[in-house]
Amino acid sequence: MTELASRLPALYGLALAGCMGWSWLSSGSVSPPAPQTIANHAYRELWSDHPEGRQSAIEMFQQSLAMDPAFPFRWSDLGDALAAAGRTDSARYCFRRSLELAPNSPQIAMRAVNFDLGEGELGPALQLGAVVLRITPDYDQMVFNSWLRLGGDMNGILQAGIGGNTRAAEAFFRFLIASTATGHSATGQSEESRLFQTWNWMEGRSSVTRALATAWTVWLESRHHDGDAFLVWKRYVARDSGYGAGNWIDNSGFEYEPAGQGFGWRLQPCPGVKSALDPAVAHSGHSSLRLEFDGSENLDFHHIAQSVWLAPGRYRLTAWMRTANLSTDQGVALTLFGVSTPALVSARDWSRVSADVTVRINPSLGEVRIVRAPSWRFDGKLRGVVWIDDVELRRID
Amino acid sequence: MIWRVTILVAAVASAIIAAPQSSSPVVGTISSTEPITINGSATSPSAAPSWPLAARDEIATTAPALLQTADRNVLRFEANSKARIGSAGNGLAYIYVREGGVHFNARTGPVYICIGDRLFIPAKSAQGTLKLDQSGSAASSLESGVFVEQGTRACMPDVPADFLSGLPKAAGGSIGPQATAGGGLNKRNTAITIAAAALAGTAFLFSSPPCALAAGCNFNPAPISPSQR
Repeated sequence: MTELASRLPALYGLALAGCMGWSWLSSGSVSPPAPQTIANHAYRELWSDHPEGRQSAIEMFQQSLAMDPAFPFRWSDLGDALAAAGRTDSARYCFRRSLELAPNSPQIAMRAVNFDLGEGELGPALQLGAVVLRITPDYDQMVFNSWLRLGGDMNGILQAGIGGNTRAAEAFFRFLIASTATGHSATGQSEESRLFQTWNWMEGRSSVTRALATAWTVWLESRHHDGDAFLVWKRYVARDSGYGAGNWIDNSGFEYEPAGQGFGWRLQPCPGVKSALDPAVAHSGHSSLRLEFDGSENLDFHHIAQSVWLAPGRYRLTAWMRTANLSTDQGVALTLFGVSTPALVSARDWSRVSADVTVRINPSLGEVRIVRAPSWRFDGKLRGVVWIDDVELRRID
Repeated sequence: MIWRVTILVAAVASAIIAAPQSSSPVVGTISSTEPITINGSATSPSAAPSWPLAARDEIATTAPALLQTADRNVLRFEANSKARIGSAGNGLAYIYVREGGVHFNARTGPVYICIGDRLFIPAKSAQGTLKLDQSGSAASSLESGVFVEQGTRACMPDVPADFLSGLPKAAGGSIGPQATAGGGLNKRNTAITIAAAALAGTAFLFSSPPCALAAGCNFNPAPISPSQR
C-alpha cells in the first residue's frame, strides 16, 4: 500500500504527460484548442473537396461559437458555412446575430453584404454596404465592385447605397472612372452611361467638388466629349469668373498654380527652360508666368499650352509680355490654330501682343500655346527671361 | 370556405415566388486565404473570406481558391490562375480558364470548363484536374468518373447562344436519348417545383386549419445558439 502511494506522483505525472502529448498531437498545443484554432480547422474542412467537409465545418464552427458566443466573427464563420451548405435561413440568422454584436465592424458588415448579394437580397446588401462605407474608406473598392457586379441597377446603388455620403459618392465616381480603364463592365450597362448617370445624380445633390470635376473633365476629354468637358470646367473648375463668356482663357493672369490638365494651363518640362509662376513680377494681379532660358539649347519650345473650346467666329488672342536679355533672333510668341502673335526678343518692358483668329468649324477644340521656334543662326541658343501675364482670348465679331 | 380559397390562392402565389428563379446573377462563391482579384479589383480575405461571383466576372488568384458554383459543384483554382466565370443557358456554370489550372469535383452535375480553347465537361461525380501547359494547350487528368466532353469541341470565353443545343443531354444539352445528368434551372424543373409546392399547400390547407388561426402554433425558427447544440 505504501509502495503504491509512493508511486502515485509518478503515475500522475505519466498520465499528465500522456494527456499533454495527446493534446499536442491533435491540436498542436498542450492547452485546450482555442476557438480560433477550431475555426481555422473548420475553414480547412469547409474549403476541402470531400463531401462531409461542409457538415464537419459547421459542427466545428458551432463548437467554436459555443466557446465564444459573444465574438461576432464566430457567428459570421458559421453563417458562411451554413450558406455554403445551402442552409440559408440559419445562415441569415447567424449574419444578423453577428451584426447585432458588432454593428460598427466593417468586416462583419462586409461578410453580411456578401451573403445578401449571394442570396440576391439587394436591399439589405445596399444598406449594409452603406454602413461599411460610412465606417471606413478601406473597403470602398470591394463594396463598389460587389454592388456593380451583383447589386442591380445604378439607381438603386446611388439612392440606397451611396445616399447622402458625399465621400462615398466621390469615391464611387472615381471608381467608375478607373474601372473604365480596365474595361470591365459589370452591370451590362455601358461604362459611359453609368458615369453620366452618376455625374448627373451628384450634380443634382450638389455634391460635386472641384477635384472631382477636374477628373471628370479629363475623362470626358479622353473620350472626345470636348463640349461636355468644357462645360464642366467652366461651371466647376475655372478660376476666372468670366471664363467661357468674355474670355476663353482660364487663369489668364497666372494668379493660381497651373492646373496641368483639362482646360487649365499645362506646363511640360523642357531641358534648358525653367518655367514657374513669379510672385515678384506681374502686369496685373499678384504674379505672372516666368520662363527662364539658360542658353544651353537652341530650343523648339512649345511646352506650355491651354486647351480652348470655341464656337465659330472671330477671336483676338492677346497677352502682355516682358523680356530681359533675350538672345537670338527667335523670340517667344503665342499661337492658336496656326496664327501667332509677334515674337518678342531682346529686352522689352511690358508690351501687349495680339493676333486675330477665325474659327470656322463648329465648334472647335484648339490650343493656345506659348512657343519659340529654333533659330537658324550659329548663336541660336536661347538665353534670357520672359514674363507673360493677362493672356486673353475674346470674340471680336 | 372563402378564407380557405383565399389562402389557397396565396399558397399557389407563394409557391410561384418560392420557385427557383433564374434571374439571380450569382453563379457561385469564391473563397481563398489570399487576395482574389475580381474584375480588376482586389478583394481582401481580411474583409471577407468568400465572395459571390456573377456571370462575366474575371477572376485572378494569388493562392489556391475554391469556387463553389450555384449548383454546388466545386472547383479549386491553382495559385496564379485567371478565369472568366460564365453561366450557360441552363443555369450551370461555364468556366473559361485563361491561365493556370483547376481541380474539379462535379458533385451535383456537369460543369462546363473551357481551357486551352477546348471544352471539357466532367459528368456528375467526376473529379480531376485540368491545367494549361507552357504551350497553352490543356492537359487533363481524371481521378474518378468520366468526361462527357473531353476537349473535342472548340470553345471561347463567353457562352455562345447555341451552346446547349450542340451538347448531349448528359451534359445538360438537347442531343441524346435521355437526360442522365444536368439539372440546373430550366422551365420543366420550375414547373414541377411550382406544381409540387401548390399541391403540398393544398393538401396542408384542407387537412388542418391554418396555423395563424390555431392556438399554440409557433412559426419562430429555432435560433442557432450554443445552448441548443
